[in-house]
Amino acid sequence: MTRAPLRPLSIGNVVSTGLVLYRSNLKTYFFIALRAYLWIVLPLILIGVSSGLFLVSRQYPWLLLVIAFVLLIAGTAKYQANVALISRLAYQELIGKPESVAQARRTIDPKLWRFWSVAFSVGIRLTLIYFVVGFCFGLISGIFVAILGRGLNPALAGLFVGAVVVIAVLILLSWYFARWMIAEVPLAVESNLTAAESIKRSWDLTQNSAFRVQGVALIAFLVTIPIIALTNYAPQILFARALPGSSLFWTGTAISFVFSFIGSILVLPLWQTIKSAIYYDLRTRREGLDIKLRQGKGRNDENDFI
Amino acid sequence: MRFFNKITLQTPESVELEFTLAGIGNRTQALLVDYLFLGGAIALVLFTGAVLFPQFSTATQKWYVAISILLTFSIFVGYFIFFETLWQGQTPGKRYAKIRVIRDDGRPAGLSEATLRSLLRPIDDALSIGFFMIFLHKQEKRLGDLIAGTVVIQEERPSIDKKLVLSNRAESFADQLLEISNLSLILPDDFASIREFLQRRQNLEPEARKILSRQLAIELKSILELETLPFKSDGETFVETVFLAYQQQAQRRRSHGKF
Repeated sequence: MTRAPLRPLSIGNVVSTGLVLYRSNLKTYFFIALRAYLWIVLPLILIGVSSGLFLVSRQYPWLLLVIAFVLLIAGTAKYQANVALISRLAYQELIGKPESVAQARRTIDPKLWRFWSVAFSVGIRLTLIYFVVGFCFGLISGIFVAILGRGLNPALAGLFVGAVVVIAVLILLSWYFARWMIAEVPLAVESNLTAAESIKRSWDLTQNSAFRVQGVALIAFLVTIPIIALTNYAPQILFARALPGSSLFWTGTAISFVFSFIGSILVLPLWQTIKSAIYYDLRTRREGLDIKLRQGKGRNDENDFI
Repeated sequence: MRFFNKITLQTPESVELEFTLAGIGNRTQALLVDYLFLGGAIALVLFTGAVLFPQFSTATQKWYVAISILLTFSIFVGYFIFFETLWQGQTPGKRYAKIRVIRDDGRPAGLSEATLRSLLRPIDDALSIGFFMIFLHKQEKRLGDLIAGTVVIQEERPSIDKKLVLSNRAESFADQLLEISNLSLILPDDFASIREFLQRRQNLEPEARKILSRQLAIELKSILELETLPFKSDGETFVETVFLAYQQQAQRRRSHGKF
């Protein structure tokens, strides 16, 4: 290893590290992200085509639909694997052992369905939590509005309770999100992990650091705003004055769609490199990953030390 | 790959100083905190105005609108000028994110730099020009930095070493170790790694701490070319012992005037 390993990083520096990783591999990561998105978009287009066929012929194209759905599930797995590939490439650079895309793919591809399983179980858990939290807070806010509404203006009370509840739900959900944010990264970089172990690792590593990860996610989100603004909103503003239904309008819609697609592809690798940086940072903090001796020979003598 | 851009500055006294540039993450974090403060202040002004507004006469209302626009603008610009001048290149947000504005020659930023940076901030913020400039510029300069001749750097970690608490056993082992081994076999870089471990070990997970200390101990033993140990020790105590012995040997050399 030629350079000194990175020590524990500040919240801002985690984001900057992710950006530097992305910038130095812009083309590579962009094309992996493009590939990931195509795996989702193409089955969706197929579903769109079959719906179109239904409108024309008034008959369900069952076979096509089944194929499209199977493809969509496989595509989701492929999407997850490609996304994880970016994280692996970024992480290998962080630990000073960069890999080629082909090399990394060889370790990622066999785990295809494990990545799918990680995404699926985290998705299910977050959805469940979302409903439970939403239900509980809905109940609580109903009670509070009823109590406050008597003394205060009911509309004002509703607004106040609503604002408090929305903020509380956001904080709570983002806390869970932070705990599982890096769920697929351990699976991507370590060998011999199951999907469940990978999720648990994310949970354990973030145990005392959920606030830090929330902070990183917030800053990362703010950093993506200029990119999203440029690709998603700029074209919409340009064509805002086109008459609905005119050819200019449809051109504008098509261009906006293409640009927002490009924007999503551009932003995706940034999240993945930042996730790698979070994983690396948490491991340096909790496991001393960065503490290594240069001359270390790693001979393992038993019984030397108690 | 270098993760953090560095710049070397030459002071007027031709002393070379190396700084780590702030990076987009820290600058965004600082901006977020500053904008929370600013948003709060401006909201307060506008809210007070909205409460008082109906009581004004029509003529005063026009004046009020003009004044409140002026006031909002001066809070926005004045906030950054005030703090960056008063705190030598820091605002509350920058202090929180541990970054600082300095001049291109390494001197602290003053009133004129703070003013230029602050006046150009609206342009940098509009359409995210500043963001893309920081992203693309080698020294991470936004428009305001280019014109004011400033760079934003990370504040170095204070170099005051926390006093390390070491076990008593390690102290007695250290004397024994000094007699039988040559501590200069350990590179200064590796000594730094040992110190890093001892400083951060309380924050490590117990299991990871045990594994890491054992690994370090095994490697240190092999670096020191020790066949057997004259004492029975666990991994962590051995790392402490090597740390102490290395320090003591360095001290002895210094007092003997060899270096």
